[in-house]
Amino acid sequence: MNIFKTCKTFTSSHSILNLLTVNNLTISTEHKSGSINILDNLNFNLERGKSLGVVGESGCGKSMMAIAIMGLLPDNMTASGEVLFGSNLLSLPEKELCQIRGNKISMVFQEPMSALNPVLPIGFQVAESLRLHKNLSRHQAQQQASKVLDRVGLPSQQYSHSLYPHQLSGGQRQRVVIAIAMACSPELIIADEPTTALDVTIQAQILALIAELVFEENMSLILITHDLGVVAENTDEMLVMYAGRIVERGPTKNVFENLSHPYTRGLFASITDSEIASAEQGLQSEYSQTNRLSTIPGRVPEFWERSKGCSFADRCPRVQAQCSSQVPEEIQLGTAHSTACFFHY
Amino acid sequence: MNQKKTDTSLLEIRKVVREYILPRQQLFSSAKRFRALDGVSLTVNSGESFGIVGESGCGKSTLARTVMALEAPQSGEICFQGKILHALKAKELRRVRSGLQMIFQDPYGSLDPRQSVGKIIAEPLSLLGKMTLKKRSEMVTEALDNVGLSPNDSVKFPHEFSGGQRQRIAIARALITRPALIVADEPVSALDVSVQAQVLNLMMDLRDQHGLAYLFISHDLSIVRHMTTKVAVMYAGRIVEQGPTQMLFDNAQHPYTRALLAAVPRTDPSRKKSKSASSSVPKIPDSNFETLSGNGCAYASRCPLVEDKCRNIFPALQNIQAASATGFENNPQEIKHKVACYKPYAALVKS
Repeated sequence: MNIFKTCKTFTSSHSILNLLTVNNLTISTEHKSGSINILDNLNFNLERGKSLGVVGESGCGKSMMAIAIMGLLPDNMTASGEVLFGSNLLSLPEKELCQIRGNKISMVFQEPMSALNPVLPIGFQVAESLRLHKNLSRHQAQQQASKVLDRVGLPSQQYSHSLYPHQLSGGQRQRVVIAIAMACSPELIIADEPTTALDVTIQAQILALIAELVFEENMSLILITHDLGVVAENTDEMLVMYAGRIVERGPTKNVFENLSHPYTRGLFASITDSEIASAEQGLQSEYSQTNRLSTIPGRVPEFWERSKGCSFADRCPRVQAQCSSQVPEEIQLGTAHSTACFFHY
Repeated sequence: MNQKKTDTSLLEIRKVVREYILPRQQLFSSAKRFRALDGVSLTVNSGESFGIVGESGCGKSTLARTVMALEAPQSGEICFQGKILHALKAKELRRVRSGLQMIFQDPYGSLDPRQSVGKIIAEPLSLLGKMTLKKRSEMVTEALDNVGLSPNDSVKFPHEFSGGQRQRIAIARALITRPALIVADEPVSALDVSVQAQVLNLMMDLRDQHGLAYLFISHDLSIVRHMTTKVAVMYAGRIVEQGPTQMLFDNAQHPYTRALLAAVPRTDPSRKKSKSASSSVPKIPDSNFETLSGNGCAYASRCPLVEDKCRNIFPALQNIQAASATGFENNPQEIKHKVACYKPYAALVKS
């Protein structure tokens, strides 16, 4: 299927390898106690055709990062640094951002019911972005839209494209959301917890669909999730975020082979699926007793509660005096694998 | 009437059917009925955790509501501590209810934002009759202590707590009447992974300390595997497979159970699919429970092994002849590994 290629008009002046480069991205907001950084000096690259997983618990800033890249930050937050996608997205005027959003970068949201407009038919919603960005007539856009819907597994013979979102199941709705995101064949898809609201069987289908589309159209993918299993099975590289900072990063395979940050280890140990795996890695001793789940004590600090040093210090089993006063720099562990911890594994 | 009942069975659900009447499609057409529960039977003994798994819409939550006597079944009966719940008068039911408590999924929605934590936790005490204020506050303190919160927290309000702490409050509220059975409907699915583990550990500790039984409803297979000793897999209002948790997960027989287990993402990057070969993902069409025909196996339309028989007659739950199961024959407390399928995995392996 090459329907996406036929309407692909954008040719990038960007370097061939890196599609997206984020340099020193910092998001700050005013709080009672003064200016506070929600995201702190985020740096990463995403190559064309690669997929990047972003893991962390809620409140870690995963979604803020996505919103910042899309230029959708609320008014009370300011972003500094650079988000290079051809040009610096942060300094682009709103009008030019509108040319990029939904066209070259698009997003798949978590809750398909609230991402779709309940009073418009699904065919119309998919056609909308085509009409806006590709200058197609209403009729052409409708035709193109039904091709896209066919492509995501909602063929018009079975599912009339004049159906409304409430007539579809959760998985089908998420397919529509994906169709909207894919309609203009973007270069980058940001999927923010795309399967959290879905059942496991449907989750597997939706993730396979995203992987398939991304591969066939040579798009890049940022997959934001709290599920380590989803990251392991679907991404090339991964970032682990904690309290607004990247604490561990690297090729997914390398990170899982050698979990080096205490937070990544704790996260890995506290999921029930990992019992056997963690026994193999010798994680049991530090985090768990028999028949109990290993936990990370405490909880993610709210952004105004973050400490001066390493934010994970008060939950960390390896904490020492240095941790609470100084923010650890990232340490290279091997090919592209790095961790921000003084006392890493 | 209750000849089969053993002394230890705490909750017995017998062939419960719960139907809902759907809105009629046209003015003069007869209204369709939707069977949310279709002849579900299971037994929970005191002090054990019984897991229920299945996708959304399969009737898990309806089962929970029916067990809590919040809904009445059309037929079948629910027997709690030897009393048939839906035959009880309102006054008696109130008394029985103190032995039966529930933990809900969303701790942000299940706590009244305008009541203090102490008031929230003390509310079920009205089931136990009149009580002095001092006794009340003692019991609240004890319940808070049980779930790892401090007594000072009783004057605070729910918004001052994090998700995990709120779920602890909900657990304290369920515990205060010293129930024998707690129905937990997706108790941790709204929580973060690291906090999930804390709450699950707490629930296991309380089970051991107070001899609680759980009816543990979840769509997360790995949590059910960890928390429960027996498990039933539901599909479209019916139990399609049940058995001891370990046995069922290690040796799943029903094609639906196998598909569910295969769909769980593992933390193993080597399982990353080669991108073009997405055909390796089992293609289970979306579930659409409403359009099911009444008679055949509900899973037939999604099943890779379907044959004509499946579409016409629903397969009954049958024992699996496994060598390891024979040891339990004479023990009525033990649950046998049963599956409702004409083509269970064991039969496939043989042929």
